[in-house]
Amino acid sequence: MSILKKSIIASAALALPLAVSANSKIERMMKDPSQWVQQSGDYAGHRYSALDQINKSNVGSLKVAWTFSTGVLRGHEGGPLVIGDTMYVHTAIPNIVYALDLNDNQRIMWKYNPVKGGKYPGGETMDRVISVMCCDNVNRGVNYHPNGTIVLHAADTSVIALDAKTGKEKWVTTNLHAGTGKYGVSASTGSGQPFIIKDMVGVGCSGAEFGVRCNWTQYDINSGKRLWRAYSMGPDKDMLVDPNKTTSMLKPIGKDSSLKTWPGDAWKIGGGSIWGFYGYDSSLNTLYYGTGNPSTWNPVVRPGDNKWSMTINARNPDNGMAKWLYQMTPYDEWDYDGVNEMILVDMKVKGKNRQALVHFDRNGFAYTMDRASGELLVAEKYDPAVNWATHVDMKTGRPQVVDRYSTAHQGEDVNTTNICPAALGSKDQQPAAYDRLSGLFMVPTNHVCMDYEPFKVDYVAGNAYVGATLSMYPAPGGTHLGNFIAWDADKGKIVWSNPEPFSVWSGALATAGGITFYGTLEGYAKAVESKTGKELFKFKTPSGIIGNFMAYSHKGKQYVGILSGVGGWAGIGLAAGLTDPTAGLGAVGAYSALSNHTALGGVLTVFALP
Amino acid sequence: MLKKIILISFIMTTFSITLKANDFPTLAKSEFVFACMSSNQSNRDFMAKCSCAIDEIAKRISYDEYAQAEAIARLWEGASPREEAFKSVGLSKERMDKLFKAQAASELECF
Repeated sequence: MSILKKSIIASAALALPLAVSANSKIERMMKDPSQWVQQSGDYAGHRYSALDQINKSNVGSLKVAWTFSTGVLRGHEGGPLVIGDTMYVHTAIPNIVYALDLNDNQRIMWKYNPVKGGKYPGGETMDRVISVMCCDNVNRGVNYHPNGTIVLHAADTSVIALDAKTGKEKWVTTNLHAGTGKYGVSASTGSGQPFIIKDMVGVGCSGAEFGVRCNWTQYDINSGKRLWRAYSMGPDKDMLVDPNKTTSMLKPIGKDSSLKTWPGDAWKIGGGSIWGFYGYDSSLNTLYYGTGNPSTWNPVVRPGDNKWSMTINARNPDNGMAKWLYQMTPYDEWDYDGVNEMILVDMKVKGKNRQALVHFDRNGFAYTMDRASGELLVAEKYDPAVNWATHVDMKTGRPQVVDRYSTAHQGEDVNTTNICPAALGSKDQQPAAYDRLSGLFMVPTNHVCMDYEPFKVDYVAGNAYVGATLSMYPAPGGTHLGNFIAWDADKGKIVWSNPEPFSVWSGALATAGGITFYGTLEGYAKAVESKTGKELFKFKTPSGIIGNFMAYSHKGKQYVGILSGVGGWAGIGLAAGLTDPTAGLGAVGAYSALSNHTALGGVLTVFALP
Repeated sequence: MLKKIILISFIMTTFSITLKANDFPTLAKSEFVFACMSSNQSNRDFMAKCSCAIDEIAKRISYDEYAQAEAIARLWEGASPREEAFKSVGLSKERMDKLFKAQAASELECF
């Protein structure tokens, strides 16, 4: 056992007596490697399994133990949970939840579908929700509360508490309506995980492409009653900040910190969505999440820093008050959402023990911060291709933007070319893992650059408010669109890097077997040696992988699971014409027989040793 | 019309194609034959034609290239901003062109 690991266990043990009962129960469950009780495995977002039955010497002989078809096409992000002998699996829209009995050949114990008669609980039709939904209808998974509740954050922003045993609704509340004029609110959607802390569940919102003003909203787990809401931008009281006590770069943020950074009322449709993976430290009683891009993508219409979009938030989960904020990309000109996961690690940074927060931002910089104080410790590029800024000034925390790649400097209706990274970022939502054995971070990345042409767009509630035309291509000097890398968050350096033909959009899992799992868009489930990156295992699942790996054990045997599912069934495209199904190879007939096959949709593949 | 253009461009380049080692897993071939039969006719005649087609495709592109084309085809179906972005990526166009050519060749040979 490394010293690092010991210190983590020690600090966690010290924290226990301070936590309230529900919290300590779920934190105890998180320490049991046979279960996977939270999307990230634990509050620290390590995505690390202490199971070592599958290890670097035997992973090559891994076999498919069983598969489960979700019956839903389109993108399957997030991953399943395992609580005791039950597995919970969610799907893309319509956001079905299944409970599977691991003791009885994965028999479906219950199935819950929030869409009834074509409508979500908030009253919106599924078709309408899909029309304002970004990115292949995804949902990033359910979470569990030890009072026996599974919580779903559905696409229409409904928060739904289900009885974990029966699948019956305990309570349902619609956080923000997806509709337009009818509700007087613009097109918010839900795709992020519901996040459980103590006896509360919190949700963010999606839809910065639709001119929403996003927020984090905390609910009581037992009643569904709303406790607090913190907007990403606007007046101080809306944002739950204290001008004198809330800090940024260790200094109080002062009065009207957000209002001063937007022209006129632009903050009212300011974006700042929250849909990534979050962190919680019970010893500091602090919730960590990131906010997304300011609306619109055309920066010319919103001069100013646009606070607090693109910001890491550290908040008290009981009342929502912000402890510290750090804006990574002031005045975004590229759509570098700051939503990516927050990984909490107690580690040495520059020779000093720190309670650190590590964050791989879309903007291509990896940040190591002191999560107690909000002090910026390290900010370095984790893809050498990143060129929009030369570096981050460590005194001010501001990226030093290069005019050549500034879409605002180049101006409206000018095509700014060869910006790296592309709008998808050097990494999107796909969460990295922390390998407790090597102390390295295992990071799935994009290696894509872009041309970006902003244009004028008028805001119409419920309609896309993008205002930029983009084209993307591989970073100079290669043809590959992604890398899977190992990162040293103290030195701010890449340790090893494996090129991938496509961007890696699946979440990683590091394990005590010395191996790390991730998936690719071609559908390969892969295992690499965590220390070196050497590929040890590769298996083709039925579709592309954008889900996150997880591990559990059942009756003494270790399993590793991953959801695959992107778009439709490729077989149709390849054998029967890509855009026009009637233009397929020698196609003369209809597709009746295909429906059985395509109904398989997303597939959960579970691996074990033979 | 598009198909005709693809066929013509195939014929123009047909003699420059170097044959690849046939490295497709049986599962990938079976899936293709199943989809091809499903979209045509589920009978012995089409089993032969579809099997012929995937064999011809496998002669012309490697399985890695086929799997990449498959991934691109799926992304195109996703049709959201994230997936849209990939339509313009150089690699996508190159892989799909290669697949189209292989498909056109297999159609000439087998149907």
